[in-house]
Amino acid sequence: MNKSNIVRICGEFPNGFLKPDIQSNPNYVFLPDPDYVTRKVWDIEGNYVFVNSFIECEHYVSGGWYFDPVRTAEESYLLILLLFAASSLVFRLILNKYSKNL
Amino acid sequence: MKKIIFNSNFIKIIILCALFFLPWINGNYSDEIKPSLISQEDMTLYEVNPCKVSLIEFLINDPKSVFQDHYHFRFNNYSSINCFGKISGATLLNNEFYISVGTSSLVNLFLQIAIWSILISFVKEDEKLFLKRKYFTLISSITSLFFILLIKSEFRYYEQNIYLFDLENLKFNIFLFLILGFSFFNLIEVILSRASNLINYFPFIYLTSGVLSGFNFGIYNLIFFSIGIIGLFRNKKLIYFNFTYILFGIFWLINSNNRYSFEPDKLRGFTSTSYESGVNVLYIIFFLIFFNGLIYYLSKNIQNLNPTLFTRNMLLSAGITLFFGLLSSNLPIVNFFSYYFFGLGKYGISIENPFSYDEFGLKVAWRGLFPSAETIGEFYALVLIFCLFIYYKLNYKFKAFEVCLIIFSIFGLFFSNNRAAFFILLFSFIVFIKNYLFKSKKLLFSTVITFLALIVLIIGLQNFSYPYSFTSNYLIELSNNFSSDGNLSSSLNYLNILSKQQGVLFHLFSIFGFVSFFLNRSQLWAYFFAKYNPSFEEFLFGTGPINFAKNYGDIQIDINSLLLPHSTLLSYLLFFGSMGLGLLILYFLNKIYLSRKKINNLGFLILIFLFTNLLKSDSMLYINSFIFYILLIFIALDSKKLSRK
Repeated sequence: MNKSNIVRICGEFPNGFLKPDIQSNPNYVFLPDPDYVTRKVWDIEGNYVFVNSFIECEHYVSGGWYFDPVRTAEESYLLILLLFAASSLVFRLILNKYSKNL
Repeated sequence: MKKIIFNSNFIKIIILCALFFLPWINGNYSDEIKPSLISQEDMTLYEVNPCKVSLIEFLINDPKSVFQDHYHFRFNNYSSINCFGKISGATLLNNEFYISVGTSSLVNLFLQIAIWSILISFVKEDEKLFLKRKYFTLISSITSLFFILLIKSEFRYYEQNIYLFDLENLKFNIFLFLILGFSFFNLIEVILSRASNLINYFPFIYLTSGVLSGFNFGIYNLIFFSIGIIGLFRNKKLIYFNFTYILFGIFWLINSNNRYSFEPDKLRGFTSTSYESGVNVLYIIFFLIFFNGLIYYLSKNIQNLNPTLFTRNMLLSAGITLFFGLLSSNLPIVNFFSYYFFGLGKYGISIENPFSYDEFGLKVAWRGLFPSAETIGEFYALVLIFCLFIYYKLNYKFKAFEVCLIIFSIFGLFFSNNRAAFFILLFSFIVFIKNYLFKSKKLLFSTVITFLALIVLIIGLQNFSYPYSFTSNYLIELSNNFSSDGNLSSSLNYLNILSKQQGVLFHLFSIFGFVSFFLNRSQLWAYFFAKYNPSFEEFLFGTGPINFAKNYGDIQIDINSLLLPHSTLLSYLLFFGSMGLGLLILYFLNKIYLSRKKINNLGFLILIFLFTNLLKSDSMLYINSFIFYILLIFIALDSKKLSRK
């Protein structure tokens, strides 16, 4: 379990937080927390659920629902920008080497 | 084997055109969302579908938005890269449309640096490099790393300007470092291979402020900081300055025990956005290295200054600045693009008519593209002074096109309503033609009388009717009016005590108050003293360079806009304290004294110009005029050499 992911997505751990044993109880029902701001969590396939309490959020994030498609898409664009910046530098160095002003 | 010969200038022009136009056609033209006209009744398309319509689509669909003055295009730097060049929102405010165009700060970093690098590359290369190529990678890396630390320290500013800003994330840090590093390496390579020739192109600093959109720094910060990394160790002339600065710096750091924020506004690119120890240490280091870089560059390249080329470039810069200023005040889309491609710290003025007067019959100070009407007015006056110099002293014959640019500069000075600059220009004209005037006593006498009459007219005849007791105390009175009861600044408190005691110090300050009245600075300087709340140590040593956060955050006064001190003297009192300011003045006077045999009429006029305008203007707070005025000091202190060129 990545604690930083839980904090990043669900918020800080509440005081005295005790993780309930959900695995052994297939009928466990997550109770909504009126003081908790509803969040959307995604899995690797782009499926999403809305979580209404810290316990629910922590459970999903621990189970692998910590993907952020917006952030992932932005990182892809950043990579393209980076490749563009690097290739412009290479292109300029090649242009300097082989070009001649007429 | 055939050799393929490229015309590199042609390729540069093609790439420039692509960089100018392509980002704004970014969009999905096959989707169902088509641009619609925005109206007061219906703006929902852009609210419900942000980042779907490109800017070009919008302009083609609504061509009147290009020229109608109730449209305003604004950059939204907190946008995804995918949203670049697209309409990210539209809103109606006071019956005017504000159209938000998505831009990503990281794309701006690459795009703006690329454009300016290509433009600078049209300047001829030097035969000998200013710095050896082996240093380029090292200084690019150190500079990139330093500015990332600066971004991290000013996180409150950047979390609103960089999309998904997360400098705790290692991947994001690496991306930022590499994008900045690659972009900056290109720029530094272009600059340092032309460093000797570029000094003649310094006037274009007024046209291109070079501030990166979404960031609190620009290309000039990057360039002179990187030069300063080497200059700090090679420049022996500044050894005493550096040592004293470091001592002051230690005090500034020990004293950084509060936290204040500051919205940079028109000072963006050359001011700190907060006052706290982490930010202060970086700005102290930045200013030291930046200043060393600037002095090192100028001391090595001042001998390459060609007065006629320099003056012609001043004319060209003034003309283009005025031209685009007029276009941008009348065409919203030009206002938008000017902000981006010239790297302005603030959007150009929206007052369409530069000849306009206010309801009291006073000329409205029209600034055009530049953030400050006063500073750009000083530049126009300097252009004309240099023209007088090359005409009378170097016997330069102006071409018709250059005469048009001179007329442009005269209009620019008139539009800016900078009367002090106009007065010094007039004085300069008299100095240059003095030999002709001295031939006839009648002519000399009438010139002096006319000149004095103009001074009276410029200051205002009615102002001379007020008694000294009123004019000298007006500043303190206004300062008390600005303050609320029980919340007086320490400086105002002290001035009130002095006022009751009526001692020597009070009378000295009264002279200052008297001068402020006739310079029309009473209100602005009163506002400064209402907020200037130093401890005794801060009064002696200041709070650190280019940092207004503490001054504007300490005492709250109910005024909505950013009112700067309008005096470099007062700003530097804030930054460096009375000791620091005193040492700077002494150092400067000593330099003038030691160089007195190398100063001619032009040098004398430049020094008078600088002294007068720095007393009453904020020019040294803008990075372009800061750099330019340091160059002017170099020119002034060896101005006789210019006459021989």
